[in-house]
Amino acid sequence: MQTPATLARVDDAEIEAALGRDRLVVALWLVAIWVALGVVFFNAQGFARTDEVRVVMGVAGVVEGLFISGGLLAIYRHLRENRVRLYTEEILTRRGVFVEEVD
Amino acid sequence: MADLAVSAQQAQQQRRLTLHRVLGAMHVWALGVGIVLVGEFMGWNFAVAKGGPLAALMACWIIGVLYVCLVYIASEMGSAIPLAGGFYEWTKHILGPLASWLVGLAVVFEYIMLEAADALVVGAIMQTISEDVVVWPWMLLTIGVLTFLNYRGVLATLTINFVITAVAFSTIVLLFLASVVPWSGTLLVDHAQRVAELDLPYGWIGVLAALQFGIWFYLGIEGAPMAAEETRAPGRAVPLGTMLGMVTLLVAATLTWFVATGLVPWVELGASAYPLFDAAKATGLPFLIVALFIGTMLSCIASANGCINDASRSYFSMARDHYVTPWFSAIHPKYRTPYRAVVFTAPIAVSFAVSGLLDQVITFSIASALIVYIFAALAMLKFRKIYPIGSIKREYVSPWHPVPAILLLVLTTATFVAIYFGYALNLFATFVFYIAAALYYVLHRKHYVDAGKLFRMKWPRPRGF
Repeated sequence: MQTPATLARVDDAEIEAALGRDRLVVALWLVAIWVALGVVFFNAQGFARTDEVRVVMGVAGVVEGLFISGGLLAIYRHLRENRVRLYTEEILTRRGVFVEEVD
Repeated sequence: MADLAVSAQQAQQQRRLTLHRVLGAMHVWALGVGIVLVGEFMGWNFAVAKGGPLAALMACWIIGVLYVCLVYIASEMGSAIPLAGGFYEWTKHILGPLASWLVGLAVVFEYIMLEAADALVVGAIMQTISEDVVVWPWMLLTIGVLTFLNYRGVLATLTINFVITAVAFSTIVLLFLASVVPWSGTLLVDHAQRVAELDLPYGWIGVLAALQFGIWFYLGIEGAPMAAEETRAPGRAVPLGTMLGMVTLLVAATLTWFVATGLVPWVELGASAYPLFDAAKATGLPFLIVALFIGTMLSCIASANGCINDASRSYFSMARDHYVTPWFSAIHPKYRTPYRAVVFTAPIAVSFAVSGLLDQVITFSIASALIVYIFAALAMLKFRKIYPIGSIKREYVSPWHPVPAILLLVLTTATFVAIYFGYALNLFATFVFYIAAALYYVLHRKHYVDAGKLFRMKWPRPRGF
C-alpha cells in the first residue's frame, strides 16, 4: 500500500447523525410495509370464500413481510457495526476527497 | 474518529480513469424504484384478467418474495463486487466468462427493451389528450432528451430521477388516502361489490398464470446496484438503497392492488391500459385524475431514464472486457460518464420502439430478466461456497443463506412455467436467441477476450481463471 499523503478525519457526531437518519428511514419503512400488508390482508381475507385462498394469501403476505423486515434489519445492523468506516467514506467522498481504507 | 488514507496524486489519477463517485443511497433508490414504478401504473393488471383480483394479490406477494430474495443477493454481491456491470460482473467473477457474456447481453436487452416500451407509452399517453397527437415524435423526444441527460452526468440524471419517482409514488399514496378516508361519509373503494363472491374465477391455474404479470410490480429493481461503481460508499449505498427501493415497491404494489380492485370492476381492470389512471377516473375527482395522469407520465419517464443508465453501464462493462468492441468503454473526460455506451443505446431503443410490438418487446425483456435471475441464484450459491464468510472482504452479508437463493430458483422456474402458458413461442424464441448468442461467443467472440484480465477483484482466483 502507498504511504498516504494525509489522514482525513470525520467527527463522531457527524457519523452518529448520519446513522440516526438512516435508522429513522429504515424504521419508517418497516412500519409502512406492515401497515400496508395488514390493511390489505385483513380486507382481502374477508372476500375470500375458501380457507385455502385465505391461507395462501396469508402465508405469501407474512413471508414477504418477514423477508423484507429481515433484510432491512440486517442492513441496519451492518450500518451500525461498520458505521465509522462506511460513513467516513461517504462523508469524505461527498466532500470531494478521494479515500482509501487503511489496512 | 475514523482515519482514511488520502492521496492527492492518487485522487488526480483516479479522477482521470474512473466513473464519477458521486451517488448516495437515495440515488440507488431512485435508479431502482424509478425503473420499476411504471409497473404499478400499468401492466400488472393483466394478472387480474388471468386469475381474478385475489389471484393478482397472491401473485403480487409471491413475486414480491422472489424479488426480495433477488435483492438479498444483489445487496451482498453488489457491495462485494462494486463494479458498473452489476450482474454481468458478479457472474463473470463467480461463474466464468460464458455465463457473464449471456448475463451481460440479457441485462442490456432487458433494459433497452423496457426503455423502448416506456418511450412508446409516453407517446400513447400524450395521445390520450388528443387523438391528433402523433406518437413517434414524443417517443423520439423522450429517448433523445433522456439520452442527453445520461450523457451529461450521472448525478443530475439520478437526482432528477429521485424527484420524479418520488412525485409518482406520492400520487399512488394520494389515491390510496383519498380512497380509504370517508371524506363525504362513504368510502370510495368498494371491494364488497367488486371482489366479494368472486374468489378465484379460474381456479388455482389462474394464480399460476397471474405470476407472469405479478412481475410488473417489481421488474427492474435488480438494476439498482449497477450504480455501485459510481457510489460514494458502496458498502452503505448499495444494500441500503436497494432494500429501501424494494420495500417502497412492496408498499406501492400492495396499495395499488387495493385501490385499483376497489375502484374498477375486475373485468374492466383486467383489460385496462392505465389501471391507476382509470381508478382515479372512477373516483370522479378532478384533482386525482390530474395527479394520476402526471404520475403515470412521470413513472414512464423515470423508468426510461433508469433503463438508459443500466443498459449503458452493462454495455460499458462488457466493452471494458472486450466482449464487445472496446471503443464503447470510453469515459467522457469532463462528465465522467460512459458516453459512447450511453449514446449507443438510443438507436437500438428507437428501433425496438418503432416496431410498435409492445407485448413482444416486454415479453422478451421479462424472459431475459428471468434468465439473469437464474444465473444470479447460481452465482450466489457458488459465491458463498468458494468464498466462505471471512475468506474475503465483504461489505455486507445478507441473512438466511441459502434460503433466498433456493427460493429465487424455485419461484423463477414457476414464473417461466407461467410465461409458457401465455407466450410459449416468445419463450422458445428467447431461448433460441440466447443459445445462438452462446454459440457466437464460444466459436468467435471469446478469441477477443483475454480471460486472464477479466478477474478484477483482489481475491484468490477460482479455478478456470
